[in-house]
Amino acid sequence: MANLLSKFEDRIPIGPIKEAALHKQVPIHKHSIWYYMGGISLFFFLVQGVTGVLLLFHYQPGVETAHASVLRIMTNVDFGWLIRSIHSWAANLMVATIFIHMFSAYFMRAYRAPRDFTWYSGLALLGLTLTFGFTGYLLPWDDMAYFATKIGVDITADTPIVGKELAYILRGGEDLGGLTIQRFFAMHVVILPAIFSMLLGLHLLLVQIHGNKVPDSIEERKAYRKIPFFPNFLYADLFVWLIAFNVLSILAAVYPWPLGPEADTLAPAPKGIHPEWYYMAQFYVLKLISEPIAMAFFGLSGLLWAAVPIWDPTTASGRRARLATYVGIATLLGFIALTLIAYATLDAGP
Amino acid sequence: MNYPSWTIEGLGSGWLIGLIAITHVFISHFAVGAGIFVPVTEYFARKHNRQDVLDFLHHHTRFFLILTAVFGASSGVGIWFSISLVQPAATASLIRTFVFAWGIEWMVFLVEVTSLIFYYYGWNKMKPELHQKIGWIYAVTAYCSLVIINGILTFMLTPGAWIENRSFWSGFFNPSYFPSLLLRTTVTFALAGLWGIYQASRLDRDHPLRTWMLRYSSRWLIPSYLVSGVFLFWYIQVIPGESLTAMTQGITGAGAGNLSILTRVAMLVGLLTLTIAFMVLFGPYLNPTDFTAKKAIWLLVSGFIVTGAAEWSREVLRKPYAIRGFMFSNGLLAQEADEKLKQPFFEHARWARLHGDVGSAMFKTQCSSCHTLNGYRALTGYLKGRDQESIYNFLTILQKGEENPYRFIMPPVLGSDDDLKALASFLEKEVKAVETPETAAK
Repeated sequence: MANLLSKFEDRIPIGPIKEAALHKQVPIHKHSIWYYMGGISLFFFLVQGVTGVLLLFHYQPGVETAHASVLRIMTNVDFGWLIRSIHSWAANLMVATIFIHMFSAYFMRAYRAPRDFTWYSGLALLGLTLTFGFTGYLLPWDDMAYFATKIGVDITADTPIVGKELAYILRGGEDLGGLTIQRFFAMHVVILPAIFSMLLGLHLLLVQIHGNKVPDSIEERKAYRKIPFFPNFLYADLFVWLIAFNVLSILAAVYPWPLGPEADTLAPAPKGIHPEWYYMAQFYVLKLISEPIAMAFFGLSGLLWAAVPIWDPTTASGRRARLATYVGIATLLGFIALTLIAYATLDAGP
Repeated sequence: MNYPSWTIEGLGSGWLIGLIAITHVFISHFAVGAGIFVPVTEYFARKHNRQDVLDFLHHHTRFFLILTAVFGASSGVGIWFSISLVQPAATASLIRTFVFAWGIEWMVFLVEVTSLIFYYYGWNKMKPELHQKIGWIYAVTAYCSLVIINGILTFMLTPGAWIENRSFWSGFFNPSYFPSLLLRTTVTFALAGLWGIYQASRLDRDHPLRTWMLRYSSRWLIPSYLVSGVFLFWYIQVIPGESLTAMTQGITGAGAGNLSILTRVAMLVGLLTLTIAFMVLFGPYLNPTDFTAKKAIWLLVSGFIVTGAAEWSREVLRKPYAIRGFMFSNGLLAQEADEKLKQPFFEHARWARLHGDVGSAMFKTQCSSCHTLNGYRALTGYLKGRDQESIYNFLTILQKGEENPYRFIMPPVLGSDDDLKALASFLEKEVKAVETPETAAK
């Protein structure tokens, strides 16, 4: 056995990886619960990968086949409904945990140098996750998916300069149809996973290099201890993954993800059409103000958010840090409030 | 109907019993498991002269006493209250059939609680030998509780030969008695371990006993995982074929209107049971130093959900009966359902205050034990979009005996044509009130 391991080590040297894992230390303090959020997001991504591959065995893109194949998965394939339900729920939970991960990193000021590239790569991963959600939402080709995507692509068309061309490329023409499904499918199962995996590798590497950020107040008081990543934190991480798995299983089994009637492109949009919850705040803003202004607002505020490592570097006065905290609280509360209002006013129409 | 009906809108009467019963089962199974855990551990500690373990047990017994003798006992009484209000006919039948067993159970329970009180207050006061003996008395009586209650619980799903001979022993030692008893025994060990883990996780991080106790308690889950699969397999072999069909029909579809929810919840029992094993492995067993009480609470929550899901599945497996082949879930006797299927329903009712509203009374007596109007298993949801005629047609299907496709899920509806029409009219009004609330308000 030792001989076999040695031969394996000669060909693939895992020693340095093991060494790094053994030396890596994770700080433990009263806020260390937030350190698990990145790991949980990763777990949901892995679930997406596995269930996505299983769905691929049965899903058939195309106007005639997309909805029928999902319906078949739901009603004729053993545990097909479960796999789809897990895939859909995990997608939503992944977005939610990435949001929590982002806000926790923000409030811990984990965006400051030398972790600024970790912050940027994390934001890019969030952007890709949202694109995963947007492209995956259309694939069942039910009425809600069709009309919500139509609205989404129409909004994209209002993006200054490149909007119209981008929308045309996404649709594969002037209207949503077979090519749109094909393109969204290609993005969802090939392009996005490839880019996401590479970026995720970079993100994890940066986390490995720079370690976990200890909040300043705790660092000053040295009110923390350190535990080895391997095996202690890894075991703790696995424990939390199992909790996440339980939550996911309960949601997927007790509230199986529904499938609406097949999209009718000639029918008027049904009442209450809306995107997934993570787009609801933007959806509501678009109801309030004109699209070009809204798009400019989203663009600028997104840029400001992403650029926080630049406008809040470590300063002696701490004035900018306080500003960043206020911006973070306002963004978080604003996002929650707008999402809730958007749901509350859903049937009222624009 | 022989008793007044008590309907609970929203939650549903079934869930009222369910919530109390699940809490009770969770605590009572722990009471049985810990009843073995504590004296066995005491025996070990005395044999190896481990005063630290004895001190821990003393503390653990206090928690155990409060939880089982206060919450366990009061939730047990709560079950009696709730089932006698919601399912009076079935409760009366169980009392009549098993009055002897209930009597013994009460006596056993009295000894159980008394011995537990002596056991707790006797720590450091009694001679070790006597204290240990009282611990064994508690263990035996607590397990006897399970031995007795298991007979009555399993009887409801598999009454076996009792249906023909009405013999106490046939009903008590029914086909699913032994697999269920063995399965529950393994669960009691697992719950004893989980609660032990929780208690040990509350010790200071530097406490010398902490790691040992966490690992020791974790090992109490091993028997459960080694043999429960065998007992579950045995249990599945003896439950009625229709119940098994009901449990598996959701594999290829999760649609509403069938019992796919049973498949889904039963599946959760398996999944969560498996994750608890890994949680214990990665938490208290392999990583005891970093295992906190907060994490232990997650384990207990998972254990509670598994208990709840398993008990819920067992209850739903009986559908459409309260006592299989004898009494339907709405309290109607199966024999009477054949004889009086299409006769005016309230002519045979010993307790009926109609106030002229036959439809509402039909709903209360025949539907409300499983359905609510707008809450859990809401009829306004299932019947959405249907008018009176369509609802009436559906009700007539429920009277078609072997041709009734819902016969494995729902009891037949009893009543004359006028009764069915009255019920259909009542339900149509309720459905329309939900669809157009403004109309209902007028």
